[in-house]
Amino acid sequence: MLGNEHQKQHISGQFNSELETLKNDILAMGGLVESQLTLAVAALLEKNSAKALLVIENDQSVNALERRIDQECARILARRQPAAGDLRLVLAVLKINLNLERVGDEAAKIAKQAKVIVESNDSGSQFVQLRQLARPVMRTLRQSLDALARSDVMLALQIVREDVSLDTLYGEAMRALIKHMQANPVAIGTVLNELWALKALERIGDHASNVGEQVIYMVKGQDVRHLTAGEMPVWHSE
Amino acid sequence: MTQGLDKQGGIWRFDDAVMFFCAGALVLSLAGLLIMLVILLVQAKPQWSPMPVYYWSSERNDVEPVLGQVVVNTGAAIVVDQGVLQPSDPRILRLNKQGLQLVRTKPERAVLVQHGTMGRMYGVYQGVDDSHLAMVDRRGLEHRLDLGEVDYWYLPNQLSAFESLSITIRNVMTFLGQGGGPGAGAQGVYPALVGTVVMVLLMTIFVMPLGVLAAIYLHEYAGEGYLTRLIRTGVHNLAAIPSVIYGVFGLGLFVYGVGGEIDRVFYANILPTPTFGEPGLLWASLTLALLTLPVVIVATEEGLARIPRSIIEASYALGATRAETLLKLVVPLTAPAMMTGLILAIARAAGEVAPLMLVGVVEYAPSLPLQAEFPFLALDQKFMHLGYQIYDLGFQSVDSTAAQARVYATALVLFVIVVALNGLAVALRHRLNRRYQDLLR
Amino acid sequence: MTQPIIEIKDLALSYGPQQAVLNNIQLSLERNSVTAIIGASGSGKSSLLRCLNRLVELTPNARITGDIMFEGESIFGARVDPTILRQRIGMVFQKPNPFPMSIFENVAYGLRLAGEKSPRVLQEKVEQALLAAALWDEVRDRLDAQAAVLSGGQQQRLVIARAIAVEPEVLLLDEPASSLDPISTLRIEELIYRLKQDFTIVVVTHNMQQAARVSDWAAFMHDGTIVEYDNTTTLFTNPREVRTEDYITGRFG
Repeated sequence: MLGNEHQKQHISGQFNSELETLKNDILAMGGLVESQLTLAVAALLEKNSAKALLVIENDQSVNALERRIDQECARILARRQPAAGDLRLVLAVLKINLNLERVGDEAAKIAKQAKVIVESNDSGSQFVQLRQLARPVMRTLRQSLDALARSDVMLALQIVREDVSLDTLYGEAMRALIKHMQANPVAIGTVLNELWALKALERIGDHASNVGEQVIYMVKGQDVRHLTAGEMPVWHSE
Repeated sequence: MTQGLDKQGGIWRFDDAVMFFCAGALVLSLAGLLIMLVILLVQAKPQWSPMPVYYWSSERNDVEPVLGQVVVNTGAAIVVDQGVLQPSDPRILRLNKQGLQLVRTKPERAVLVQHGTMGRMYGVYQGVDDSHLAMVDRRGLEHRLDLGEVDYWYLPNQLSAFESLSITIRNVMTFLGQGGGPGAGAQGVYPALVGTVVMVLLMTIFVMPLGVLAAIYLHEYAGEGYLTRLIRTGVHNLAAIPSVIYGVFGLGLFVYGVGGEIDRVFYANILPTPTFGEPGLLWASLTLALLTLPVVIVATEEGLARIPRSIIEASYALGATRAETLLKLVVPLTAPAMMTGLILAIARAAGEVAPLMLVGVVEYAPSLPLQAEFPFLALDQKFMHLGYQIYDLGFQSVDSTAAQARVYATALVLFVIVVALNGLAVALRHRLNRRYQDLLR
Repeated sequence: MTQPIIEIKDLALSYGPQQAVLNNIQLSLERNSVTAIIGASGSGKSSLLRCLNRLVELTPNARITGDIMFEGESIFGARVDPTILRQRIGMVFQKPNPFPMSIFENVAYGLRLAGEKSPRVLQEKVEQALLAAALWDEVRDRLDAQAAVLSGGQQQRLVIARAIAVEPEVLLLDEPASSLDPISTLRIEELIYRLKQDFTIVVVTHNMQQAARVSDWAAFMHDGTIVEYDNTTTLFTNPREVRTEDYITGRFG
């Protein structure tokens, strides 16, 4: 269970249920953002403007949930003065919440690009690079949410490590698209739209990686941000 | 079924019954105290207040008339003080009411004269000129008294309230301030008062250092072992031993033991006449010191126990040794408790008679225990004591009925002294409590 | 860490054969730092504090094994005078316990014990101590008033002034704010923060937030042992031991 290395209950039952609500809400936030991304990518690849509109509309719910989670964190900090694991849980949830909301924003951006592309009636691009990046980014986000739900440090560490390979993929896709633009100056408008979406996907990968880092902090109390691969701590799965 | 909010159980509810019994016990106790006080006051009144002078005569003129004040009316007989005007007559006269069909009148102009050398006289006032007071006695003979020899005189049957009060006050002062002879003839209780006070003060000097130091050792140094508990229980029980046993003990140890030894060593030249080897002031004080020692120890220990542990720890934590903590903190803080113990001891000692009868008190001592020259205290002399005075007047003197008012008056003096001392103790304890409450707020 | 001012080695304490209170205590206290000892009631934290100035020896049947080094010297050494040790390691108790004397005499008590007689020096040192304890401004006009007229918070600062008047090197605080209101508590905490310039402070508290606020180092005690000792931030965000975590997050256990 999230953030619970051991199953002991707080003496205060109310505190227990407040933390429980917070955990459920951040997981719900993850689920919501994940479905937004899936829908946005589908809208783009399928050139489906209805799906794109749905994503743009749903962004309100993401924002509302973000606000609610922030309020819950503030309330727990003010009223419970959490310490140790509880403190790390609340701090991590605050940051994960921020990252997930950004993921939601990026998904909405992708959806907006999809809408623009559909409206421009340009059926030229097959979004080869986009497809190549979308799958691993979506997988990474999915894994980061799993790591959060199961407090899985090993999985989270893997995500942080693999962020580098996502960046590599993104760089390759950029170079390919730039080459494409140089070859077909006519297609610059379409390719630029694709570039925006690509950039958004790359950002989502970074956010997913940040979530992984926060999971590690939440469970182990270790700050692994801005560490090189060699500096990363090593844990052995139990 | 709803019960409503009505009281259960009718008139005699258990709650009320409990309160009733508690209140009843209180009322009974208060009533007992009040009755005692009233009896003391009423019975002591003839000793101080101006009483009416009566004239008893037979209608058939077959007996001599009597003029004087009622000393006591037992119902079967009336005891009359008829003064010393006619030295041939007995001063105290017993009238048998049944036998003598006497008629009592209250002569308006009856006079009471306190004569400086002879004593009290009763008569019927005739008049007064520059130097003499004229009155007739019960048989109608006229007497002229030189006013220079008269202490005071007044007409008891026509006194105003103010005159009556001032006479009472003067009598009380006389009673407290003068001595006189032995037994009922004495005017006041001054020697007994002085004897009581001196003996008690001397006892204080003996008992305080001993009791306080013993209590400090017991509480601060002895630790909480089996032996300490045994000693503490012993001390508490010592307070319950009948006081006459202390008297016997004092007689054996101090008078015959220590006193006899002193005489053999220092006063061998005048033996077999004893000096310290007979009852006296010193031995009486020491015996009472022993008697009141438990009171002082218990009170002091209680005071020590009430000093908060945290304050003592604070002293140690500042680097104080045990002796420094004791002297700078514990003893000053316990001083009020020690005072309480002291005053309780005084109150107890002032009321003790039984042991004193064995170790130093007499019914009449020719001199006061205080002397003008060194050593100022007649340590080896016997002395007079209020409590013993009561016993002696009431049960030992020849005309104890006549002395009844004096007995009660003396008892009242003793009562007031003891109540005052106890009141002081209560007030001190109250102050002490307040001080600690401040501390423990 | 430089040479620790106090070093506790294998310390154990019992009150009689059945009553082990402390067990296998190891602890090093850094100079001019605040060390908090937290733990539930009965965990032995007050007893540990009382070992440091040997006040525990006043308790009947107290038996100590192991050693405590103060400035490199054993405080249990045969030649050590506990009264001098207690002048160098001062202590403040849970409840404000001023002596029933004037404010001035309270602060001067320890100085007089140490043999100070000059009225001028006494006056000066009492003023300094009251200034250091942040009480001077409130009592400067009534130094001769009874200490009992002060409020609880003022009384506690008075006893702190009393403790620091003798210029100890270490100050032991046993639940110094547990009987005070929140504002007085904050005053005491602020005082602790300022006093660590001049003193090494050990504070026992069962108020975890207070320990988190005032201390540089924190030790968690449970059942007479030190479960965890670390710098305060680490102990309160990322404790190593599950028992510590359970205690500071308020879980059963």
